Amino acid sequence: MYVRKEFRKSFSLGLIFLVVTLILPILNRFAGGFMLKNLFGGMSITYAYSVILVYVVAWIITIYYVIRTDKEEETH
Amino acid sequence: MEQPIATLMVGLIVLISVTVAFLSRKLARSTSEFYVAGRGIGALQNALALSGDYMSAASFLGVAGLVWAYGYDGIWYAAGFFAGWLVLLLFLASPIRRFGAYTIADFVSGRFHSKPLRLVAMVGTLLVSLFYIVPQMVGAGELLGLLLGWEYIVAVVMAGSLITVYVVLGGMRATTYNQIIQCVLLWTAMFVVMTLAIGKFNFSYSSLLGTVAEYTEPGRWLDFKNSFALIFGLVLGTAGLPHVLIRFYTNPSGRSARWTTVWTLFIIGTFYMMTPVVGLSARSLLGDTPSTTNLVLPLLAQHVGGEWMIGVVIAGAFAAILSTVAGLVIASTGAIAHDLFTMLVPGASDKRQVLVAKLTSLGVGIIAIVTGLLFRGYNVAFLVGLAFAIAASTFFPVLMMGVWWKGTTEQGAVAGMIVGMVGSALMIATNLMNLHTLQNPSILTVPAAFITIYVVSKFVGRPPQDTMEFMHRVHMPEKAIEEAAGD
Repeated sequence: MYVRKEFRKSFSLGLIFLVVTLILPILNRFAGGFMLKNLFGGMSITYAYSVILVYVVAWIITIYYVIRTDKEEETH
Repeated sequence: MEQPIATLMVGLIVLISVTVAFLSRKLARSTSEFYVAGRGIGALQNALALSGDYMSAASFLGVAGLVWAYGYDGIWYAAGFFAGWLVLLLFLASPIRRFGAYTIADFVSGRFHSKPLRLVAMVGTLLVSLFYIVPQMVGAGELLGLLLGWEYIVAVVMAGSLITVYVVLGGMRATTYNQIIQCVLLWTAMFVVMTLAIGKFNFSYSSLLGTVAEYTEPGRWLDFKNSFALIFGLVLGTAGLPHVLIRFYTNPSGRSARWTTVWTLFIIGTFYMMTPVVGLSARSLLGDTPSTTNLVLPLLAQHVGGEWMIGVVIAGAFAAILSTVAGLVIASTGAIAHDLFTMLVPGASDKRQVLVAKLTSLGVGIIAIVTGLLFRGYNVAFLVGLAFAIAASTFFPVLMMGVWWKGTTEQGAVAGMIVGMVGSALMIATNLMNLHTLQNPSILTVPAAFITIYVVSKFVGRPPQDTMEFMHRVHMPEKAIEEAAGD
């Protein structure tokens, strides 16, 4: 029971993050024009994605995962 | 002496490192203390040590250099080095801590009760660690050689000897304290250089980007295939690095292991966010002046802050190298003195095991120095990327399948590890011989290892009888385990 529950939690969050990370080179390749559009202050979408978005998504997932796991441990 | 301030700062780091090792030496008298610091390192402390362990010459000098040289394509390294941590947290951090062991070989042999697997894991640990040590020694040699005027051989021998001395003296405890100090130093050095550099653009990120617009676009170095392969290898490789994985064993609990990763993600995340700023500032301010990518950061530091800043950067780089190599020496020592020795001489006394560990650290230190001398001139971040590829191919599949799929058999695990390790090493060798253009082979060798483990497990052997017990042990909430033990 625990294994399945842990599996679902880890793999759903992991899949979201792997998609967010690995899709970047694919978008650069197949939607190059869009990714080079200026987002703000001379920063293109692809640049902002690689130097900001990847980090922010990772931090959000991390905190969500750790707090959820701690709670589950408390109320198992 | 070409840079008296830098020399003074490096001297200071040497003094601090050896003092810490000397003060911790009395603690390193049991195997538990030597390898995992008695499992008594707190989450923030461990996160600082892990970050120091992880952020090597490749992160400190290499990434900024690659961003300077290739712009956006160099940023892949920063994002990849960072992103791998989440994979480690989500899939492996808690289970490996709950299992409780000293080395990767302990973990896989605990899961499959297999001597051949223990041996393969030992060889894999040594191979990855060696690939990782070489660029650190090359970085040390180039940095100290070119900026302090030291001969390459003197610089490598000095750095290697220092690390060996403090690992042999103090084991994991001294290594941890040193890594904490070194992490604070290298993070601060990067922050100060970045602040001074962006100050040249009136603290405006967009002004900086405006001066190097063509460098913010992908494709100057890596094509689609190679950029995808690189990010794939870096993201999965982190979760297979022996010197990173063994640090999780030093946590007192699974909860502590998770919070360690949270802190680590903030420390290294903020660090890697700074590297593109520094690399692009160097491109804008220095143009084509630097002669090698590894020296871009010190030259930028000199440009924006003079001799003092060069001192700070060299001290930061030296700290990055020392902390990483020390972690790698501990991991390699664990592979030989713990995995191999305890298999060959079962029942050896704890005191004897510590002595063997210390002698092994000495041997590993000497090998580090010799290989550092042999590989002069190689690009440090590129070489570390290859270590990640071998780690991703050798360890990530077997750890994932071992932790999450109860159908994995000993034969499947052995076959998968061999396919991943030999496959990635061969692909790297053939790429270096210009036989194909795929720089980072993990995109092929990781799936190959996964498929091998699955197919062989389906047809050969049976999962160990205590598989369900293992699964409960590594996945159940700790409180439930404690209560079950109490009953």
